Amino acid sequence: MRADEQGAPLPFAVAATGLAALLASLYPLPVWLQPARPNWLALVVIFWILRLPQGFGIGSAWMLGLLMDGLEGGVLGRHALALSVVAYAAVLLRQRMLHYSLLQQMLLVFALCATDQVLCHWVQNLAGHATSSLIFLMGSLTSAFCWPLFAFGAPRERSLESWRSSP
Amino acid sequence: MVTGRNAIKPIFRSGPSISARVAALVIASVLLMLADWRFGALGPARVAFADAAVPFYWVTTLPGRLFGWAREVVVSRDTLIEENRVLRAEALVLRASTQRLAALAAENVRLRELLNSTALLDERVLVAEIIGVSPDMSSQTVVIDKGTAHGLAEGQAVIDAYGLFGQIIEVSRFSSRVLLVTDSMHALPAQVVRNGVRVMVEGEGRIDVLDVNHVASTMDVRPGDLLVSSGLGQRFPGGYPVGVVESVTNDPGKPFAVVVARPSAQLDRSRHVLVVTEGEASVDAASSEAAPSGTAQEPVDAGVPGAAPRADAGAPAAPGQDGPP
Repeated sequence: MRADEQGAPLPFAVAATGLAALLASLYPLPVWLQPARPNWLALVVIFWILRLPQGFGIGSAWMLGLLMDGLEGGVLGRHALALSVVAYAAVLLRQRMLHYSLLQQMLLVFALCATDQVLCHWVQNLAGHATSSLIFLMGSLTSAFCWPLFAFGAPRERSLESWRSSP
Repeated sequence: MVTGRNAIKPIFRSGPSISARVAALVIASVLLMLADWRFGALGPARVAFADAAVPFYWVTTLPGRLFGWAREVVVSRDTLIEENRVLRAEALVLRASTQRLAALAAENVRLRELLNSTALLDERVLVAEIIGVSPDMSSQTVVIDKGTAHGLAEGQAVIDAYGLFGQIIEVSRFSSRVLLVTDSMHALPAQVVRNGVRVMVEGEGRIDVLDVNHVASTMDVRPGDLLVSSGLGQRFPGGYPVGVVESVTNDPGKPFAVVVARPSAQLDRSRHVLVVTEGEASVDAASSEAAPSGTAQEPVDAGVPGAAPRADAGAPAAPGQDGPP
């Protein structure tokens, strides 16, 4: 894990996960399940920022968001804006996140995904699509529960507790 | 310790520039959004994106297709025979009602000639398949697999077998985006079939709810009333079922009643839709051609809403479809 982090970035894996996230975000779901769709794009962005801080940054997140905007057909720049903000927060929080336990990471992922979705909804509301309910935050919740899938591949430092318990 | 050094590096390397970078990207996104939404300056880019999106949508529908294919392959002979029988019976019923419709249409043309009023538009329909659904809950749009290459244009009405579905808001070469009637940005003029009262039907952003706004408390609208498009907005052809009134709440303190309707079209279930492409209106066409079977300007009988338009894909003319004398 450490070796490839130091070596060349994994452009192939990044592109593949990005593509998979786009497809999963577009996959048609039943109406009742739609609010619970995990925010795959934000999860992938957070994952790669933890894993490849040099190879994947805010610019990549912005590009991914722009692709999503184009595919979705909404206002261009909406996801780009939200995802670059999420990426920025993730870069700033990276050091903490590496030391967090899985549960703490999930909480943080929830906050980041919620940021993404709230920003997207602001833009959507400004563009005239009025929504009043907060049901869209369900997606952030399911995203947090999906984070353990990503946490397998993400680097993790030893937490403070484990340093204390095993001298 | 390798890990520690490695982890700390980016902060020192990109610490000062990262805020500047995110600020630049945020500004770029805002400019993009303004250019796209406020000034509509990115039309070509959107069309290019929409064309590029077709394979994506195709891939996302792949599991559903595979599932459907597998079900077709393993279906038993008895089921097929049974299904065939039901379809044949249904075809018979539909054909019978088309006969009546043809006679009515012919009569309609004659009456209009007597009244010296203009002929109705000849409506043609094109079958399209839904290949994608907008993942964004606040905008209700679907993507269909026909575009400018098939003669579609912005603003054309889309119907399914049960009623009005929506309208085309964006066309690319091989796909188009359809705004559903239930989208919160959508409104259309409609008419109550029972008494011809004109109303506005607006979407609310929920797939199963239509709002009928500005209905005065004294207006005669009851639960169960069928609403059909009135054609007054000059965007939708008249006579297609829009919804059925579900509840009428009269609050004595308010000037307007709260009327809620359920859309007639199966917005979340239909796989195939019909795009209505209007032909040119001419008195000649109406009087000399065979009775235009698509001219259902009179409110259609609720039993056969889907039988009105003529399929463009070479469907044989229904028997008993005589021209007016």
